[in-house]
Amino acid sequence: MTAPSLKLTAHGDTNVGKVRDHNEDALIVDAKWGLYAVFDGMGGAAAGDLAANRARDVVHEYVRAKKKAMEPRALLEAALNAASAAVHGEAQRTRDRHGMGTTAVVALVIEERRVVVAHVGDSRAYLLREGRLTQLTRDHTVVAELVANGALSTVDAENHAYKNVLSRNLGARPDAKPDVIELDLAPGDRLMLCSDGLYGYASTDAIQYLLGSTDGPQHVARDLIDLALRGGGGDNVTAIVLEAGAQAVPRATQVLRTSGAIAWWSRRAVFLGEAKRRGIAQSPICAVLSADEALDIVAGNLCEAIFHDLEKSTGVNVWTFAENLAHGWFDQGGAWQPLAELLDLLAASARAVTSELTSDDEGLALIVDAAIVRAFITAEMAVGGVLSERLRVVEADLVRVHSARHAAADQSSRFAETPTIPYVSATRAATPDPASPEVRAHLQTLAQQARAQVGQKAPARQAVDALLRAALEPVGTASPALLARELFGVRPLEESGIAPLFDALDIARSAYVAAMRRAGGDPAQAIAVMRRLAGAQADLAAAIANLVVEAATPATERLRDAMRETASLRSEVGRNEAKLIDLEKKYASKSGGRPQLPPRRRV
Amino acid sequence: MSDLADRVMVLRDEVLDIVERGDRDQPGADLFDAIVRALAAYGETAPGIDLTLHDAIARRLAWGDTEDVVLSECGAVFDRLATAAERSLRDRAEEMLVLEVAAEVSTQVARIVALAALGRAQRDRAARSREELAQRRLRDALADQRSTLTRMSVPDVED
Amino acid sequence: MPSAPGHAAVFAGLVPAVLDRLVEVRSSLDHGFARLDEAQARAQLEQILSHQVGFLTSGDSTSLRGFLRSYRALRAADGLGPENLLHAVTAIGDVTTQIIQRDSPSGARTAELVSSWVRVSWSTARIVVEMIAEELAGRVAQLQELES
Repeated sequence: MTAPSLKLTAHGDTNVGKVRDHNEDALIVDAKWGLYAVFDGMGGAAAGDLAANRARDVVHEYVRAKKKAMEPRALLEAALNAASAAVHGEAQRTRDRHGMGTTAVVALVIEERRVVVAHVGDSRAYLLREGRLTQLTRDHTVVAELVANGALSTVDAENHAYKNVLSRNLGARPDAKPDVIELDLAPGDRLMLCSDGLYGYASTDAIQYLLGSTDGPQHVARDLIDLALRGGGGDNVTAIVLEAGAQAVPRATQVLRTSGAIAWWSRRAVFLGEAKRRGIAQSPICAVLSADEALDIVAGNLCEAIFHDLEKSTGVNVWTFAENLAHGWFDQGGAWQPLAELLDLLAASARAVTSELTSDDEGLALIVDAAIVRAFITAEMAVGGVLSERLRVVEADLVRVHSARHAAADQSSRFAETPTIPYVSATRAATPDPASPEVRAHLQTLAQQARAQVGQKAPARQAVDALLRAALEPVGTASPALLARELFGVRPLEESGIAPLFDALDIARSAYVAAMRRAGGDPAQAIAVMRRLAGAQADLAAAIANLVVEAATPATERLRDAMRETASLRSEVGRNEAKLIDLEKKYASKSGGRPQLPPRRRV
Repeated sequence: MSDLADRVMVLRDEVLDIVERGDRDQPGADLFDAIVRALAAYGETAPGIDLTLHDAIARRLAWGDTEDVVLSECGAVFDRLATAAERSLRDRAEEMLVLEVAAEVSTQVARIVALAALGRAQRDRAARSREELAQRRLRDALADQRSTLTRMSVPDVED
Repeated sequence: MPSAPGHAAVFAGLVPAVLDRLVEVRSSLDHGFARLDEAQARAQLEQILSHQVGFLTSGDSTSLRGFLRSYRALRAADGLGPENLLHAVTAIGDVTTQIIQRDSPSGARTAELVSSWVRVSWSTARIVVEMIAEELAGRVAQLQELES
């Protein structure tokens, strides 16, 4: 017996955002072919939207042409491969399109309940089912794949310099290598496809609340875009919401949306009266407000937020209320305790409503009571989120201060006395060893001219001399390392100290080449000189890089030591928890199931 | 200049010393491609960092390849290209140009790797600081646990 | 503070179904659970639920609080931010509520059980928020000391 058919409704929306000046996202919402897709282009200038639009057009045409003839997984893989080839081909055609590409997340509805989802890059697919939001796709970014393998923590991933570097996208290669999954939709499910402009600027909780509301896909898609814009809108944002019929709504939820919401709203005077009686105006948070304002702005807004959330089975209004309250209070330097006390006051005021409701309809009162408590859990989450954000900022500052101290300690013993990493290639068949007297003499002459060209500017002048010495030395000696140390001198181990060295090598080489062109002469000798100079520059550059790598090594070793210490402490905490559980069970069994434990002293 | 770039491109398999690497790109491919791009553009634009090369190296380092592996591959590509150019290019001026461009691109690779190593050291110091913060939390939790264990292990101790 | 021994006994009977469902949806609870295999997730979820049932039974949050402090420290060492634990305990509360509503006969008794349970969930969330607030105050003091 087949499952009853589902009515699918979809809507997509896109916005350029608040920072970018053009939209490099593209989308497909094609109910006739059951095809939905989001593309997020990259490549700067006009290349990003070109890539996204090209990929969109290729995928759309491919699916329309071949859907009836191909098995769905193979169809999507082939469509994305075709799109990748098309974008790759475009990218090769002109220099200013080199490197352009696009992400893609595509959903193909193949029967009324079955969906195939394929993706490449970091545009995502999410599923909301029974109020729980699950990310269906794993980002094809280098850091996401490292986190998935356990090689990187989520916190380190957020701070990683390469967190936005994609490991796969359409256009980097002629083929795409998409990940493909299949799923069966259940009544009430919502499938969302989005670009990183959404999840990068909106919390997962807020997305879950909006997707879980009773509004239709058109409104939800628009609200999701607005959410991302309110969160900063730093990128183009696109969202497609696909709804699979209506879920059988639990009776309690139906009751809440109708009778519950009305019962709450019709007793708002009870709520406000109780809040006044409990002294809301005396809360430090309301210190700048008059008594009426405290009631109206704080209690009144919460009352309205709860009503709207009950009506729509969402939490976004209470979340917004609590988040704004927390931000406003903490921005003024307020502490958490008064905010917690205010929330307790408001919760107690809400209980007055459900107490009154109990005398009219006990059953409804219980349902409303649970929903109100859940609303206050939402408020706790919003406040917790604000506190967590502030904690992250303070910890980042602490990390910065500690790191600066670590850097100062590391730099006191920077370079090993002898190079520990082999850096000179053992084979250099193209270059004879040692230099003939003629080549040596020619190099010396060129060096004089190069010195004259660069003048007295160090380090270019030093680079001219270093290149000469490296070019004259036999291949395979340690001299590039020693020359690199001399060149490096006492520079700061920062970009401002290191970059000029590489610039100096290029300037010195250019001066040598210019001198060679002016000198003319025997081509065989010229090429012999060039081989030595080019090899010398490559060796010196590598040697400088190796110095920096050596200097970076202590930081890595100390991190490994710290990680070992953390692992040891974790094991001990875990062992102690196991002991505590055993002791608590022992106490529980002695006291007939009710633990009578000596209280834990709080540290 | 793109004609020279095309002729150098023909040397790709030889220079990269192609071996089976499964899904991964051949070692040194990014450097070789960057040299070909630089040859094709020689004289047209002012020199600067090749962003494609930068991203390719960044990706490899992020995947866990060490800096010295990248540098030694660069050295190997340079040497094999110099050998191949000497053998296959009849015009000495063209061979000189290939060597000049290869040296410039090798220097870019070294610059990218050096700055990446600096970045890694900064990140590792920051990660170490975060580990120390985590250790502080764990030590606080341990103190709390030890205190509770002591109390629970001595049944007649009053509060 | 909820103290409902009658409810605790009923709830204890529902715990296996709650655990099965939580393990099934663990990837939607938070990052921390998404990464665990089934056995590890079950063990951790069982610990959390066990402490919450203890709180429901005794009305004393001390043991739950101590456990959450250790659990938070362990998660932080895994690189999980403080709000992850908050999301996780809230999600656990929501899923548990759904199971209570699904597996219990409809009526006042179940509604009371749900009401008791959401209060446990609320108290748990409050404990976690309090921990975050304390930690923030501690870190601010640390930073001020370092910078002075």
